[in-house]
Amino acid sequence: MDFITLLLAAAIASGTPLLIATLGGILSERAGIIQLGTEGIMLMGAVSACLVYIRSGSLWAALAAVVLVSAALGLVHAFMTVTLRANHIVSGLAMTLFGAGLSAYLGKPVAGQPLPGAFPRLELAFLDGVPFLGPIFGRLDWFTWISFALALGLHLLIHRTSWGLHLRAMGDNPATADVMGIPVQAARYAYVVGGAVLIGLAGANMLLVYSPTWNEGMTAGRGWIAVALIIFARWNPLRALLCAYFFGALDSIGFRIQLEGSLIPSYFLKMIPYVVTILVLMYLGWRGRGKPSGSPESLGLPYIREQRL
Amino acid sequence: MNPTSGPAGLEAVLAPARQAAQASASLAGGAPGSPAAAAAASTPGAARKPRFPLRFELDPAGKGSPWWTPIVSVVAALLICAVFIAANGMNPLTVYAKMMNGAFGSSFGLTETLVKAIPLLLCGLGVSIAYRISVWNIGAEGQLLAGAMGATAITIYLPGLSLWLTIPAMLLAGIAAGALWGLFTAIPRTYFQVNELITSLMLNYIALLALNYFVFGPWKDPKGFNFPGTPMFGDNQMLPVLGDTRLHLGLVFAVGAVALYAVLIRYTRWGYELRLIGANPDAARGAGINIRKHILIVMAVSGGLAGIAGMAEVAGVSHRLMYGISPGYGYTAIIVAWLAKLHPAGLLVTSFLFGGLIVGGYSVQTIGMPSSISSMIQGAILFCLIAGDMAARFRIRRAA
Repeated sequence: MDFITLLLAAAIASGTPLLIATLGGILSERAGIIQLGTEGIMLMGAVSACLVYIRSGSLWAALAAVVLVSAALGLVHAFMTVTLRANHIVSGLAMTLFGAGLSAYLGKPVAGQPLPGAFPRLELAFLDGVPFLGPIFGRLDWFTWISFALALGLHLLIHRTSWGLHLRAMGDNPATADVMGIPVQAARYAYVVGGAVLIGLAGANMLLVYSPTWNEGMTAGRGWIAVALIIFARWNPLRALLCAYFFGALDSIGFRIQLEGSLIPSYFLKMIPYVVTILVLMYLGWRGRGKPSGSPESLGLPYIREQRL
Repeated sequence: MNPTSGPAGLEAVLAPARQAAQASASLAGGAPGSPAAAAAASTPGAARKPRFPLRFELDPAGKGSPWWTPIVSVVAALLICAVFIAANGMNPLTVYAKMMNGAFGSSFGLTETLVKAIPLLLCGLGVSIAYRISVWNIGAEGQLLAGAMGATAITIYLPGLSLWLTIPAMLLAGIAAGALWGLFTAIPRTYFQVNELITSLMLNYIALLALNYFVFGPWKDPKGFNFPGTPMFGDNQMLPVLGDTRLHLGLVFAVGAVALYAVLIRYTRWGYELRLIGANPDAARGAGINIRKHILIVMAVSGGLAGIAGMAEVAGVSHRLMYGISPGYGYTAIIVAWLAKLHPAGLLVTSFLFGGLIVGGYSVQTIGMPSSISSMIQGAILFCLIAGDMAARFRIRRAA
């Protein structure tokens, strides 16, 4: 396999958790709720997947646990931001710190232990001889295929259905959405919880597919990169797909360069995704100065019917 | 006497009771399709009939939260964490008692707690200055590491400086490195509209990788048997300690910085402008205050304070730059600052408590608990704190 094919395959592998987490964040932010707890929810998703998978041996039980745990965390964030109207940023920050601490505490007994099995793959035998597609798509795991479908499905949901119209309406102008008869509070709860479930599954994807042992703080800032990806993707799921694989490629390019025998110390190669995140955000800010960013207009603002804030 | 007043008055007295009864009926039998729910839905007369008899609403007269919310939040957080400790098969009371005893029960524990409180106080002060004007600096960890690297650079490249120059030079280098790291967050924010949360966090990882590069690479002690750390500092490169404890001069830096900040914020134009930006950025902009300039200054100050913390850690505690020098002081500092409500005097108390929490976390390792128990408690405290702060501003009223 040549360098480009390897890089693309690696980009998809390390981009998938970023993609799923970004989609979760988009869902939440389209409804007007900033989700900065991504890193903490991903860690909790990963640790609950690891604990349940090792203790029970059942992949389905592990995924169910991830959904339950991350839904509970999403519910807490929704309660804080929608009902109590706490600052979204601080609530998300608390979520990240709490998730990091709790996952480290709960995961201590299983740290470094191997998982009982690999995630099932979809074998596409007819692609075996095809030069470029074969190595990339021939043996992808189910999780990655579902993430493709998820990006497309969310794109259609947001831009092509009346539910999506309502979702965008409550993110841009909740008072108008309320007058239209959309139950803004309840729907915001639903979208924040749904988004948190996706973010938790992103953490589970990292653990089950990408690096199959639990380590304390294993997401290493990917939750925050996912937060930045929401901005790169301009809150659009299909653009999120491209952006996530771009960052997945950056994530793995350092490792690839190292394998090719470069003289640059590996520490600097590992900095690439973080540095590029900052540079790309700066470029977008410079290019988009004076223009709207594409963010939902009421992002981060609380809304309660008939009450001034 | 008006003859109609009797029945009307009676009606007025009875109406709320009847409404409450109806509401509780629809609450009790509120399953979809039940007769009560159907009746409630099909009664057009009761258009504003509330679904719940009690309403939880923001108190319009509320003036912030009362002084006791932090205490209640800490207790609530300890209760939540007790559940997880119990789920792990330990007795939470034993664990908490052991932590208290380890942190505050002996003179060794107390000085250790103070030693841990020094970086927390400096970083907590740094982030609380930034939070005061809504600049969400979560990069104190990276700024601390940058300060530690800056101070160590003096010992590596200028080993021959005289006794009286070395410590000031290390301090200045630490401040400069921390401030530079802070500006890396502030410049994208002011000139490129980049969210400072993301940049400051990315810079934490970059600083950590840079530190690992130095201690595993060019600065590694050649006689250190591959230990990832620089050579031990000389006597002139260490901060003086109190007696034979590990408590070092950094405590004076930290308390001095808090006192200086308390004076500056209260009595100078800079402090006044910061308070104005924090209270109402639009009014501040209208009054001609250059908010960009303030963000740059505040982030440099914030980073510089974390840089002092890093310098004090290498020169006062570990006496070398080494792998894993900070157990997440920069992240804990965020909680320290919130718990103190960004108030300088409060920081003195909360940093001491959180120093104790870190020491307590280490002391329960002897009974087989992971030390990450303290970061779990920290996160829970921040959660309960913001929930408590908001909940205290609500009131419960009977629905009209």
